[in-house]
Amino acid sequence: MDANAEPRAALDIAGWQALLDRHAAIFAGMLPGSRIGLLPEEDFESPSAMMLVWEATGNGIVADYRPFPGFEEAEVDLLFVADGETLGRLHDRANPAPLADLKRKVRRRETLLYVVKPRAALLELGYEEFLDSMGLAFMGACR
Amino acid sequence: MTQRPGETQLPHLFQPVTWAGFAVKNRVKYGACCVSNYNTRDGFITERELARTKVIAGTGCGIITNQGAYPDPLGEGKAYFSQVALFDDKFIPQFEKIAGYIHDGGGIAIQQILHAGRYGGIDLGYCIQPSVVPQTLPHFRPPREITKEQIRETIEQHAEAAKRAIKAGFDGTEITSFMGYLLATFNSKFTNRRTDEYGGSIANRGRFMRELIYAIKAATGGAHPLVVRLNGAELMDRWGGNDEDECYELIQQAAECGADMVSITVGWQEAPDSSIGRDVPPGHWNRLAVRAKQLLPDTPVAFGTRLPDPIMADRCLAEGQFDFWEVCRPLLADPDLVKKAAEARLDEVKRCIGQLNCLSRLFRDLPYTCTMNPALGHEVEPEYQITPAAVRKKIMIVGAGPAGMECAIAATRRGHHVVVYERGERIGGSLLGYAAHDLAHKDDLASVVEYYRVMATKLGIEVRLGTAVDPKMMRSVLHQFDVAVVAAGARVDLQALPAPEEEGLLVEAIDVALGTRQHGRRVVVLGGGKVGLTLAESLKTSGAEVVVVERERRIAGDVMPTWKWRHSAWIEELEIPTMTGCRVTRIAKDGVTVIDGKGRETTLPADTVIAASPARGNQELFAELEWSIDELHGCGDAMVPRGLTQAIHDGYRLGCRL
Repeated sequence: MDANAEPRAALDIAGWQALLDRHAAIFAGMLPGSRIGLLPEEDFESPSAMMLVWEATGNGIVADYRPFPGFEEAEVDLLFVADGETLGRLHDRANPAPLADLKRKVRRRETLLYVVKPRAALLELGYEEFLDSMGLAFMGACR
Repeated sequence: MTQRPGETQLPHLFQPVTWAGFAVKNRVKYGACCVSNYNTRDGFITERELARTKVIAGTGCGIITNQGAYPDPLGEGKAYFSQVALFDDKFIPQFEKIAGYIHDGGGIAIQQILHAGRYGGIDLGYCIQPSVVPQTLPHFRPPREITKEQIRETIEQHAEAAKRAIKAGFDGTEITSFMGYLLATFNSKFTNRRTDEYGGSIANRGRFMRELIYAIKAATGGAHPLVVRLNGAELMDRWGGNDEDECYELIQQAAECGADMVSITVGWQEAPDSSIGRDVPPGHWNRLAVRAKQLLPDTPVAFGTRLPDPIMADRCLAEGQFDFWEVCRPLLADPDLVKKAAEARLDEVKRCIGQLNCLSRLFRDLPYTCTMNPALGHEVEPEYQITPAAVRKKIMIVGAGPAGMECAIAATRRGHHVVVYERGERIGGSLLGYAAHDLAHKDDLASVVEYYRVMATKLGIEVRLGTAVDPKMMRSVLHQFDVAVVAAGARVDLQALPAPEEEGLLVEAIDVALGTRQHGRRVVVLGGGKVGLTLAESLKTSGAEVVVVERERRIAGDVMPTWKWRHSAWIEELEIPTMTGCRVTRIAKDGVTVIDGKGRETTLPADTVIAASPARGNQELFAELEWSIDELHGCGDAMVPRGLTQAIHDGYRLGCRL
């Protein structure tokens, strides 16, 4: 990975990996190649935006940074768009419940979650546990 | 014609007006708020739909908008499982019937053309919108970018569908930019990221709408008005959607290119805030109509989002906030709302209580139904109608909760003689308690109880309060009744919990809800379903320290789908700890001991432990009554504890067939 390509307030990969390792059970069902992207909100419109990608490899889930080329070429199944503070809290090793924080932000729509692949495809890719833990079973519709 | 008393009391609502050359008998517009899902998968109208439409046509509204029909043969505009279609002349005969019903009822008939855009393509596995912006709700389908050629084709399809509607006898048509449908996706920056003449500036984003308006007006001719529904607030601006100023620029564009009425709506499906639920106070969004009216003094404005009250609507009309009260869900709950308002019988109205059962079902691809109106969607079925009883019976009903009272009202209307026995001192059953603790809008649930009280009085239903039914009591009324209905509700199955080591420590949720038992400062609620959550939220708000313990992995398991998020959000906002996947092993003076799925034990300090689940129907009376009465029935929670909607529906259905 090109270190210079990390987003502004770069958060180290080791920290992200530690988060994923701590919560491995939630990602355990994901098939190799399944990818979740996390994009800093402030970089959303930037042509040089970088996103964090959590990718299932068959030997666990691995964190890495990649360019964000836009929705169509992003090659992720889900894409979180979050502000820097949210990403910082998620990355913080001292945070006892980082994914619960993320879930709360998504529910409040302070973090936007783009569901890039249809629900059925996500279930095929093994996202059931992750979607369930994020409370996405029936979020939103007309309230 | 003599004015009815309510017409004098609500003179603005019942004021006849002229709109677009049509004489309109009052200023109530039935809004096409929901697609019914009663029709065939290929867009044909069913007998079920026609029967429902007859009821709508008879509501007494001055203008009636028929539910949205998708205009394209491929179904990219189709959002709902069995939405009606208008892409071909073959559909016209059925629309003729609907236009006929509306005219027979004295209404102006408007047909909505609904291309769902971002929420469409239900049978296709994709949807179309101006740009590829993925869904944020997993329910919907991935987008494809609409080409310029498809834009032209889509506009033509709308115009053709509108022409068919007019040919079928409708007086006018409506297009809708509500909550993220195709028109909204062009208007909004959130989904329109195009760089051609249909994207970018607000003038460009509004181009699709303007072309749509011009095309429909050209196709239908000047004598047939066009209504355009537009967001006064998208509630999506946090994520790049239009702000309110932009929404009003688009509203102005619509008016300038010939819209005969603008209907102001609120919010996208994906918006973070509630727009129509019970947690939104009535009148909350009225300011959006006021702004539209100030902007467009010469264009009729319709409005009704979370404005369920005809008295408030009359006041708004009097103040010139808008020109037509657009109402739908309150008329699903009570199709006689307008008539009752005209006859000064508003106390007999079954109010829409914002449960959103209608939408919960639509998003499970089910036909919509209404918590308050069990007959909705069953108008074609005699089994759901109040018809004179072949044999007049004497009926005793045990329990004056929603199930018992619905049964009593339906049976009385059919000619039976009904007596309701209620152990408590008031009508309402457990609803009485939970209404008082509802964080959303207490008045809505309380209105259900008040409705039962009023109707019992008006129909002369004898309700014997403070009267428990037991073997001794039954001996005293032996042979006095032909039928007994057990509608005694449910209690918590305390046998399923460990016995408390101290008397008074464990109390039932309903007793706390009704105020017959007090609670201490530190409360542990056992059960994270709707009963436990409602109480936990209320007690926390009043200052108690509350923890919720739930056996299942998630809270709110029995909560209606469109309401789950609301409880979850309140629990978070109120910082109520929830322990899920936990089993209670001990209830003692030092607190409640729970064990989680990994075998870890925790003791939660508690002054009061509230048992909110598991519920068990109060069925003991069945054994007592079996050999002392001719017919014995049960309904509501007494049979299977499920909640308000099912209690109302069970009670009504039983009342219709006794």
